[in-house]
Amino acid sequence: MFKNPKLKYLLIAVLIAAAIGGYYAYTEYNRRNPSMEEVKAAHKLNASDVLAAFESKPEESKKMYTDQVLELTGPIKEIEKDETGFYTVVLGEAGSMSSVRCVVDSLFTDRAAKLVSGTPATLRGVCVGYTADDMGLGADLLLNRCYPAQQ
Amino acid sequence: MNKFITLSLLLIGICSSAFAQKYFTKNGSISFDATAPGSPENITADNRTVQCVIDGATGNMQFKASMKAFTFERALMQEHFNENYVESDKFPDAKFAGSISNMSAIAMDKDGSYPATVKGKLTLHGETRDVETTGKVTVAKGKVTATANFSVLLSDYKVNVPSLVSDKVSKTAKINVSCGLEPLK
Repeated sequence: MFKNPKLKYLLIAVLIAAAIGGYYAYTEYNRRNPSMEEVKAAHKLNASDVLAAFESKPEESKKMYTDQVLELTGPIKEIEKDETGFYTVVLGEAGSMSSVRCVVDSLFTDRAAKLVSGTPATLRGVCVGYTADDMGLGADLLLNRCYPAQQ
Repeated sequence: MNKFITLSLLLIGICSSAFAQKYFTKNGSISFDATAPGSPENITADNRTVQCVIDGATGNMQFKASMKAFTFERALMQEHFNENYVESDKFPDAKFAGSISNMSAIAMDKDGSYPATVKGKLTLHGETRDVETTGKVTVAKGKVTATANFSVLLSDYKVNVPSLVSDKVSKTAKINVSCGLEPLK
């Protein structure tokens, strides 16, 4: 079929490259956000320490922590459950307006339901931003897709 | 007579403080759907960290949503949304400041479902545009829930959709807002 063996090898190489490229594109396209249960935290901190860092050095802290997986420990100020059943665990000191708001991944609703206000907890999640207190509601650090690592 | 005046002033004080009450949430929800008509691929995301404050007396309202808090089913879609479409590092928040223009028709202290007309300015991707929509305020057993649905034209906010994906991403995004509000103490 192939008079020139080089052409045969070239065709095989092209087919292999196309298959690898196609597989990569398929897996990349269908890639899901990883579960926080399996991801290692980039930083393990106390909730009050990271809040203090954002308050004193907002720009530096934003560069250091945003988009990173954080594992934060602190007292549970409040546990909120919205009308669709999603939990948000609020870490912080009872007297402070500032807090860390951890939106719990729906995979871990059962774990969140067992948490108790006023007790310490550790949650791991992706830091998605810090909202300064410009609406009179207090400043908040936001963590998404959280996994209650310790309760 | 003096007792009557004192009692009247007390009642007026209680009533005015009830009407002057502000309501807020920090776990409001915004979802959007920017799926192009006929596309098999859903371009949807939701955000459950929305801050909202409504003044029960004036109807003034504000909300703020962190753009990076929008969660997509597919990680690649979420990365493209933040990096290429809304440039979340440069414009981290979407904000709305406006008012409920028919606030006098809404009794925040009485159970019922009240239609609301909301007008204000929406800032997204660094662009601010006037927005007007209708929504609903529901009061049930002391719990206040505000909901609204509206659409925005992506080009109004300079969110550019590459021609390569124009058959998948709609030119408009349908936005649903739902906030369970609590009295601000």
